[in-house]
Amino acid sequence: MNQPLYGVWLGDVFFCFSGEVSEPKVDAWSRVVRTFRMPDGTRPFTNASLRLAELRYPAKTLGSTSKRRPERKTLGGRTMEGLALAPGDAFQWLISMDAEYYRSQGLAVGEEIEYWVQASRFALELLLQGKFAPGTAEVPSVGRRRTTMQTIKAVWKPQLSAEDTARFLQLAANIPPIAIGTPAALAGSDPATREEAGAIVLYSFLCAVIDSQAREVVRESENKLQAYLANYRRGQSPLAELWWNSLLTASRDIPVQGTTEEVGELEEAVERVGGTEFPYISMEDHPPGEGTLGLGLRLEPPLEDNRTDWKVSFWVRSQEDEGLLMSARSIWGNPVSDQMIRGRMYSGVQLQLLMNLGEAAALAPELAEGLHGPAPEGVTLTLERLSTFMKESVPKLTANGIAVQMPSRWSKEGRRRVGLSLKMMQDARSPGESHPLPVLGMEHLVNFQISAAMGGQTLSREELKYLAEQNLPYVQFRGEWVEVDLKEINQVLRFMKRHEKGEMELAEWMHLSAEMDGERMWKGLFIEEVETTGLLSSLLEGEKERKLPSRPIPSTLHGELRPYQERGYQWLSMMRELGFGVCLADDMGLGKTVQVITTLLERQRHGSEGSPVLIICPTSLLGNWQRELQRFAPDLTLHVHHGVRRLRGEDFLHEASEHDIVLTTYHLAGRDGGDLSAIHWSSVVLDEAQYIKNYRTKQAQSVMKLSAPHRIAMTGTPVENRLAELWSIFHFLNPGYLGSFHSFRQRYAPGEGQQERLRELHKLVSPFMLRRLKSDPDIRKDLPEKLELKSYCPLSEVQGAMYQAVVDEMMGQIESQTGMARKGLVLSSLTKLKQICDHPQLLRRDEGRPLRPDSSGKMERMLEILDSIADVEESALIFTQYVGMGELLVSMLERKYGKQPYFLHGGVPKRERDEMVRNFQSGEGTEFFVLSLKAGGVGLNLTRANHVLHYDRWWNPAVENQATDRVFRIGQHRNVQVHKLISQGTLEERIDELIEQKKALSEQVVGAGETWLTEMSDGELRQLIELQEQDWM
Amino acid sequence: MESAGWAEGIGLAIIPGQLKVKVDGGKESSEPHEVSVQVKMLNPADREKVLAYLEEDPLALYRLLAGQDAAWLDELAPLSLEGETAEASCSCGQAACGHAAALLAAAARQLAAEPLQRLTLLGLPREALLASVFDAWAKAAPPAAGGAAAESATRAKEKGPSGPSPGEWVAEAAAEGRLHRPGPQLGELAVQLSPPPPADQLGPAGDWTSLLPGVRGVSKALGLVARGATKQAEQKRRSLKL
Repeated sequence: MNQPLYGVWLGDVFFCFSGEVSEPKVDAWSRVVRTFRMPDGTRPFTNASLRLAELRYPAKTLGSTSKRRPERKTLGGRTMEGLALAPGDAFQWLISMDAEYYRSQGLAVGEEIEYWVQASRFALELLLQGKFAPGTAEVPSVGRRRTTMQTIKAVWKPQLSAEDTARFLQLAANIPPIAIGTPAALAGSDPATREEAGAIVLYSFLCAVIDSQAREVVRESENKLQAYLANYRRGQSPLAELWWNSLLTASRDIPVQGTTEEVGELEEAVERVGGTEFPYISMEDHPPGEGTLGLGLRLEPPLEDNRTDWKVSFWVRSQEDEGLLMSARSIWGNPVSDQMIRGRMYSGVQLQLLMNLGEAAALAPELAEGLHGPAPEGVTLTLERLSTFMKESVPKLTANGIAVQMPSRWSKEGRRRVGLSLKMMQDARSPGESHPLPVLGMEHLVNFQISAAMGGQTLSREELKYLAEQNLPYVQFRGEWVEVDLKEINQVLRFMKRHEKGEMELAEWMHLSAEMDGERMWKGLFIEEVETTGLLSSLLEGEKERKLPSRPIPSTLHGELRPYQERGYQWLSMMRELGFGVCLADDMGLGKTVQVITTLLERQRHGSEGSPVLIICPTSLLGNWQRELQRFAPDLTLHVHHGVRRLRGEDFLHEASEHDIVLTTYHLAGRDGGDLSAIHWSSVVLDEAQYIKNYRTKQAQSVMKLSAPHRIAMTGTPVENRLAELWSIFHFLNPGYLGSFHSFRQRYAPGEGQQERLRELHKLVSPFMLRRLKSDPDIRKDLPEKLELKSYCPLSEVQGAMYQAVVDEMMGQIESQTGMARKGLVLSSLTKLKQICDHPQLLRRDEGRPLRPDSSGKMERMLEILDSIADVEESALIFTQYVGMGELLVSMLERKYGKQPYFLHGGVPKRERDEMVRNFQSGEGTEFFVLSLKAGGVGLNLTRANHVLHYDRWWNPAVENQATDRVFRIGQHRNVQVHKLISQGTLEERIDELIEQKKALSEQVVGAGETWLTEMSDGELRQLIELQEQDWM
Repeated sequence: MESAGWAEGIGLAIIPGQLKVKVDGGKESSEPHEVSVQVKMLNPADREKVLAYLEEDPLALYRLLAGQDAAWLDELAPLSLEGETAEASCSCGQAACGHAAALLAAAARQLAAEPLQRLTLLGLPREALLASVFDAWAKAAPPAAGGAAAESATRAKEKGPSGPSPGEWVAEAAAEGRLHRPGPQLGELAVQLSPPPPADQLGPAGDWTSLLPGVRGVSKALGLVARGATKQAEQKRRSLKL
């Protein structure tokens, strides 16, 4: 980007500046200029000094819009900061100025620099010819009172011949305005005209340059010149000799001081001898300059609405005075032939105008027609002729220096585009229809009306025809004159003749809608507007949660929906009915599963056509789904496709068709893809859909191949920010909607314009996504303060084997034990079982073996949960009963997340404990804090975390709650989520059930300790600990 | 008949109502003599017609002034120089000299080349013609009644004969976006950068010695500086990319 480089003469220095006033900008500019290097390596501004100068400069750079009536006031003075060059340096700089080179390096020198270049060349010519002579210059007296003494200095000045003077005056007359906006250069004088001001400034510059060059010579030859000095004695020798000595001495300053009279005499004498008077005679003695008139033309649109003829009016300009602009009428109207206008004499003005007009008429025949009748002021042209005039004559006129002024509106707004406006039509349905939702998916054909539009307004057929008939690039439209593209108009007209309506697939409609204004094209035509109406419009505008026809919650749902869950259900169901695949992206913990289950129930109510629903989820969530389906929709039959003994082939097909729901994992979706794709599912639901984010994996590809008219994707992650994930999910939901991955990636790649395109993408996907956050005020009010989430984790093979072994052992021995022994056996066995559920390593103590997460179902699940928590940058407390488990957790988390979490247990000294707590609360350290369940006591404040994870359960809910409450305290402003991990099919599950069933009585049931367990009968015990159906068995 | 070549370009004067030419002696006589032919000028009515025509047709006026053809003149201001010799007079003293005829022939050629001259001859010289037409136009042009024309006309009057003050001029330029622009004739400035003249021709001019009677070697000192400066300037000149 080019920075400007302006320059003015201040009387003593050449001042370069940028026009900026803001300090940082000026600093940056100064740096650039100071370090600027010429091709030969020299830096012209090395010796420049920082300077503040008062200039007449506008507040901001005005554009070139000419104002017909400029301000009569003068331009205010402003202080500009810049770099000052001494006259000698400035001379060298200007003489060797190469504006092209500067531009190539990012500096755009101002137009005025060319002037100073010429002035410098003029000075160089004078120097080359030796046209300079000794002279005097006044030294301004420094304040105080007037004395009778005056000081001058000896300077070298230009010596101008008559011819030189003429050129000087011509140069002065062409000085750029900015150069005389320098109060410093004009100090001490009061020029009456701008020519005089120009002469003062220019002369000052020339003198300074010449003096600097001569002085350099004097400096170099000072020794030689010593011989020619006068023998000056104060009081005796004439002042002229002092002046002479001063002239020939550069090493020190010799002031020439004398009485006013003496000094005046000396000045006069020197000037006379040297011929170094100021080469300007003021107006009174000097005849005013002559001026030449030129022709200007103006295009004027018709004034009244019903007129169509344009006028080209005649104006008079001046070649020497750019500010002059007069109408032809004013010239004709004043019969005086020699007129003084703005300080210049113009002779035979009428004749000049006439001759200019005649010459112009030779170039432009249209103008010739205007030269009829007395005092011609202009010519009227029909639109047709105007067009020819513009195309053919105007270029010729401009090439010959005749300015043609256009109506300002055209250049300001530019050409108006003419295109189409599409409006969706409602499907015609007879009123009696019960089914209010006619849309069916992305391939649904949208019917729309087509009308012509221009500049945001619809054109009627007649208007469009009128525009086309004009056949001109300028037409009058609704009261104003606009510029149009004829080709475009005809294209639109041709199209409209054949199509009043159209249809296209909804997916295409959505894309057109989402595209940015000004870029929409369809069938080669520009699309101004796309209007969606009716139900779709409320859906697509993102007003998902309103205006939806509400449907009742299925009675088969066992449970209550929170209000936002109900809204989610409404939306899911309606989108399903409309035939769209959708993504439910609510925050973790908001209950996506229950919303989906409710929708499945509703679907079922309308008749399931015999096809089952397929739900795919991560392995660790199988248990959860089972529980939730069991809990909320016990009427739906479920088949779990998992484990070594799962069904294949025909058996599977048969079994699947016999059930409402088939539940399987991503892993098996990949492996058993063949079986799964053989079934026509009524719906496919993907839980944690980010599992298919890499569309190239076998899992993802198998999932895409599944056949289902309806799809739901569930995820807790902010999908819209992860483009690859977004594409994969949408490719699953509505194949082809977002195009190919390659084109998608290219379109939304980072780079210029990405922001706009991402907005477009948002418009495309937001109608099909529903995402609510826990932090939404709307949602928060519906959430309990403590959100409890149970995760049912399957046992690993190893765990299962160990568990079974312990069960067998205990049951084998229990019959033969009584009393304390029995009690002891029960307690120790139960402890072992719990530890196995936590992690086999607790019992096996395989030191040296790497810790594997997949050895424990709970561990796996916990890591998934922690991942989600870390994703949204939240924090969690992890509670466990066993210190050994705590240590395992610490090493696991450190391995996974790279940071060692704090572990607080009974053995931690108070000081260390306080430090841990303090660090954690202040946000330092890790997001996760492991605690043993009974650690601490009162005074532990860990409110930074808003998640609590119970890795294992204490069978006294009061103890558990107390742990939870460490987090949930005054000061905690966020909802807290409590995760409880339960090993599926084990005693943990059953004890949890017991606790749930007898919540109110739990205190009594479980008592203060575990005594109640030990008081169970053998049979009860067996039931309690029996390992229920496991996949690996 | 002598050739009439001598009449061209030798003082052929076309003035209202008369054609005349001064001729040097040449072959025939040693004295210069004057030939003149009287031409009947337009009567007032016809004069009016011509003026009226031009008032109504600025283009025709332009063409006339530019020396282009003006066929309409033949109709409105016919001129036949044949047989005008009756009004001729020649100071050569010879009777029935062909000078007049030659003059007429020469004049005819000139008039054909410059139609405007015809009007001059017919009593409507250029200045009078223009004055008359422009006067008529001044009367015909409606008085400035508001609008842009009035604006700029008044503007011209405001600025009056003296033009804007320097401050106003700067403000005007800033408003019109040409604050930095040099005047249009900057390009016409002629600067000659040639090597300096020989040392003995160098200045500075002026009687410096008389200004400093008590100082010796004034000229020498000045010459030294002048030489040094021109040498410096020459170095700069050479280094320029010309």
